[in-house]
Amino acid sequence: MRFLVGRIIAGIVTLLVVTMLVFGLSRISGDPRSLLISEDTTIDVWDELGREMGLDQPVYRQYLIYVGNLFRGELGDSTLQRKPVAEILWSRIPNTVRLAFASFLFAMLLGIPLGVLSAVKHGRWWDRGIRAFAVLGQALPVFWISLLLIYVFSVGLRWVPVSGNAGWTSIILPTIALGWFGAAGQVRILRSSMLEVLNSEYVRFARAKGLPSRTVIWKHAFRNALIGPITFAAVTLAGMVTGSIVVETVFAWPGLGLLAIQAVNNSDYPILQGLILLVTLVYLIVNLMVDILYMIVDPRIRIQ
Amino acid sequence: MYGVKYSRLNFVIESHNLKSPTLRRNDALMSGKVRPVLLILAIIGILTLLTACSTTDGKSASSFASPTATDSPVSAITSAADISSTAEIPPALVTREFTLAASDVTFPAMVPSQLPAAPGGFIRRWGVYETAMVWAVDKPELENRLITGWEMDPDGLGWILELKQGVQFHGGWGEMTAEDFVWSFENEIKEGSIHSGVGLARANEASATAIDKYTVSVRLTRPNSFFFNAFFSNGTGASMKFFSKKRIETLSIDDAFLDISGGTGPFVFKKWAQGEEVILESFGGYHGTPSQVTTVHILEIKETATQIAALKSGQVDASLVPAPLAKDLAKEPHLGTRSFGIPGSQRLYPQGQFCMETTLSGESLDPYPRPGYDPSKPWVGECGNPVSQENARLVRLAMSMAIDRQSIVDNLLGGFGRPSYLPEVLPPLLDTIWQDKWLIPYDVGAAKNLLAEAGYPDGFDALVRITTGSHPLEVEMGQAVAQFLQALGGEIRTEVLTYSGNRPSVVARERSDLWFRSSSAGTAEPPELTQLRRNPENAFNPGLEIEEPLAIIRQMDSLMSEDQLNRIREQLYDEFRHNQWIIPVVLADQILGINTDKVLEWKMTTGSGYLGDFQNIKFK
Repeated sequence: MRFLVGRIIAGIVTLLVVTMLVFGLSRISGDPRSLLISEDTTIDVWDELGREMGLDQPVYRQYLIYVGNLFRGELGDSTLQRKPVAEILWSRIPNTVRLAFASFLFAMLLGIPLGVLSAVKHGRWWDRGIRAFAVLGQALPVFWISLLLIYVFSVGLRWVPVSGNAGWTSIILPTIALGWFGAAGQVRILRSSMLEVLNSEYVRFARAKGLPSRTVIWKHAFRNALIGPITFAAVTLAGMVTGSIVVETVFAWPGLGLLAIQAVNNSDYPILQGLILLVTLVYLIVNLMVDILYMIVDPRIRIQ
Repeated sequence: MYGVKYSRLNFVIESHNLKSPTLRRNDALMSGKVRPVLLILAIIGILTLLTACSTTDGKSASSFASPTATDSPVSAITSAADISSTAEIPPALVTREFTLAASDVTFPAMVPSQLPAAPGGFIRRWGVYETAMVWAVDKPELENRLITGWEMDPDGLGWILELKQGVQFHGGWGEMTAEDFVWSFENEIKEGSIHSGVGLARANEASATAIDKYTVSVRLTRPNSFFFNAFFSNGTGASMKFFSKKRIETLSIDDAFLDISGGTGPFVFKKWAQGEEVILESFGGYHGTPSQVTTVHILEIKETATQIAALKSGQVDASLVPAPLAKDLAKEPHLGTRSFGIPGSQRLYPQGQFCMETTLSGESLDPYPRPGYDPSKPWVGECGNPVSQENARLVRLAMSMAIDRQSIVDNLLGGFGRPSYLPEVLPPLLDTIWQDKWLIPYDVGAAKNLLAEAGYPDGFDALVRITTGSHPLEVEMGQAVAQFLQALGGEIRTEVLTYSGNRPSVVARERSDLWFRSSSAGTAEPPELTQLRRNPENAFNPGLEIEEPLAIIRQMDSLMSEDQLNRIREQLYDEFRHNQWIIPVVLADQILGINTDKVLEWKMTTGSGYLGDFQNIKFK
C-alpha cells in the first residue's frame, strides 16, 4: 500500500509539473486575445477582453486559478469556440480509439503471420519478399502511403471514400495507413526473434523428437519468441492512440490528432493544454495500472 | 536467483541462471517481460473506459456516423428551434445535393458582438445570414437584398433604410423588423464587441433608430465615406448581418452563441460539426428566389492533396485548387477549373516602422516606443531623423525593385495572377484607378545602386517570416521573395510559421523583421479602410504606424463624390509608391476545381473572393 501511495503521489507531482509546463508554454506563445480580435479592434476592446479572460491578473494567480479549475475537473473553455474543452475532447475520443484499435489489429494480424512465415522460410523468396515489405513499410513516410492508398483505392478503383467519417468504409484506408508501420516493424522484430529461437537447442530437440513442424513452430518457438514483439506491440498501440496526427489530417478523420492540428492552426491553447494533459494522464494511469497488475501477478514484488 | 530493484517509474526484475526452455518461459511471465502484456491490457482498459464515458448519448462508439446524421460523435450543432427545412422545400424541387471541400469550417458564433471575422464571413457567404445590400453578380454594383431602398440624410451624416417586408427568420423566429435591425446594429458595436466594424462605428459615434416597423435611421456624428459600404454591403469584414432579437432574448447570449437558427438567407444550417462538416438545406420560406440546390455539404479537408483526390473521385463536387495543379486537373474528363472572385493580395511588410508618438487625435501611446521599433534595421530608420528615414525608404524601394513579380506569377502561380504594385488595392477598383506611374520595375542593378546610396553597398542580413494558413502557395511565394532579396547581397533567412502563431507578436508590435503575408482571396472593402488599420488606436497592427498615409485617409472620410475620392486616392498611392511602407508582391487568383458533369453554372457575387452563393448554382 505504501508503494501504491508513493506511485500516486509521484503521478500527481508529474501532473503538476506538466500543468506548469503547459501553462508556461501557452503564455510564452502569446496573448490569446490576439486570436479573437479583428484588425479593427480598438485598444479599449482589447482591455475589456483581457478582464473577461482574467488576463489582467498576475501570471502566478492565473496559474493558481487554472490548477484550481483542473482539480474541479474544468479544463477551461476553447478560446475560439467558447465551448468547454472537456466536451470537445470527449467528442473526438471515440474516433481516435476506433482508429487506433483497428490499426493495431491490422498491424498484428498482418505482422505476426508474415514475421513467422519469413523466419520459417528463411532465405527463400517468401522471406525476401516479406523483408522487402518490412523495409518499405518502415522506410516510407506515412503521409506518402496515405496518399498512395487514396489514389489507388479511392480515386482509381473508387472502392472507398477519400476522407471523412461517413460509414464503415471510411475507416479502411486510415487503418491501413496507420497500421502499416506497425505491421512492418512487427514483421522485422518477430522474424529476428523467431530465427533466434528456431536455432536454439530446445527447438532442435523438439524437431529431433519427431514433433510435427506446426507444433514446433507455434507451440515451442513462437511463444518463446513473443517477448520482443509484445514490447513493440505495446509501444505501437500507445503511439497509435496518441500519434495519429498525420493520418487523421490526410484522411480528415475527426479524431484527437486532427483536433490537435486544428488547435495548433488556430492557436487554441486551452484545447492543446487539455490534449497534453489527457495524454499525460492516460500514460500515468497506464503505468499505475501496470504496477498494480504487476504486484498481483508477482507476489514477491508485494513482499519487497 | 532473482533480484528486484526499484527504478524511478517501474520495477525491473533481474534474473540469472536461466537454462531450461520451460524455466525461461516462466521467467518471462514472472519477470519484467510480462510488463508489455500488462501495458497493453491497461491501455485497452483505459481506452475502453474513455470510449464508454464519451458516448454519453447512448450511441455505440463503433457505429459510424452517416454524413447527414446529427448525432455524430462529434457534437453536431443543431437548431434550438425546430428547423423543418425538408417540409419547407417547395414540392416542385427535387433533392439536388452539392458537396464542397473546404480547408476550414470553423465554428458557429451566432451573436453579433461575439462573432469573429472568419465565421462571420462563412455564415454570410454560405447564404444563411444576409446583409442589407449585396454586390451584384458579374458587375461591381450593389443591389438591395434585405432593404428595398435607402437615401442619405441631407446633412450627409446618416441614411434612412427601408427594410424589405415579409422576410422570415429561419427556425420560426418571426418576421424581420426594424427592431431586429437596431438590436443587431447595437449589439455589433457595443462595448466589448469583437466585431470587425466596431472601430469604425465607434470612431464615428454611429447609432441606429427604428422609425417604424420597416424603416430605420442610421446616424453618424461626422461624415464618413466608407461607412455605408463597410456596414451594409456583403463585401467587408464589417458587413452587418441581421439577427433575430427574439432569438437571442429567448435563448440567452451563451446558448445563442452555438445555436444555428435565425438567419434570413436561402439556406438554413442543418448541422455544424466544427472541424468536420457543415450541412445546409434550402429554406423554403425564403423571401427571394429559392435555390435549385436543396442540400449543401461542406466537408472540412485540411490536406490539399486529399481535397484534389476527393474532387477526382467524385466525393466532392468542388474544391479550391492550387495553381500548379489547375492545368492538369482541367484535363480530367469530368472536371474543369476557373479563376473566380477577387484575387488575394500577397505582400511583404517591412515591420518595425513605429514612428507615431501619439494617436492621430493626440493621445499618448502605451507602450512607447513600441517593442518592435528597431532603427538598426535598414528598412526602419530612425524616427525623427530625415536622413535615416530617407535611407530606409531607399532600402524598401530597393527591396521592392529586386522582386521579379512576373516570374512569381508565371512560375509559381501558373499564370493565375498578376503583379501587384499598390498595397492591398484589388480589382475591380484597381483597374479603375490604375496609373502606370505606380509600376515598380524589376531591376536588380538599380536596386543595388539604391542600397549603395542608402549605405548598404553589400546588402544586409534579414529574416523573412512567412505565415501559413491562407494560400496554398504562400510558402513557395515567400521563399521566392527571399531569394530575390538575396540577390541584393547579405544573408536572407526564412522562417515559416502559422498565421495564428505569428499573430500575437504582431499584435504586441514586437516584430521588426520582414513579414510575407498572404491572403487566399480579397474583398470589395475599400483599400483605405484596410490602411486605416495601421493605426495606433487599433489593437492589431502589422508592423507600421506612420502618420502620413493615415492623415491622408482621414481627409477622405468627409468626401462624398467619387472625383474627390479619386484625387485623394492618387495622392495616397503616390505616397505609398514613393515610400514603399508596404511592399506589394502579387495578386494571386483563387482557382476553383469543379465537377462539370454535374454543375452547369455557378455565378458568384463580385463582392467576395470566397466560395459561396450556392443558390446561384445551376445543375445540368
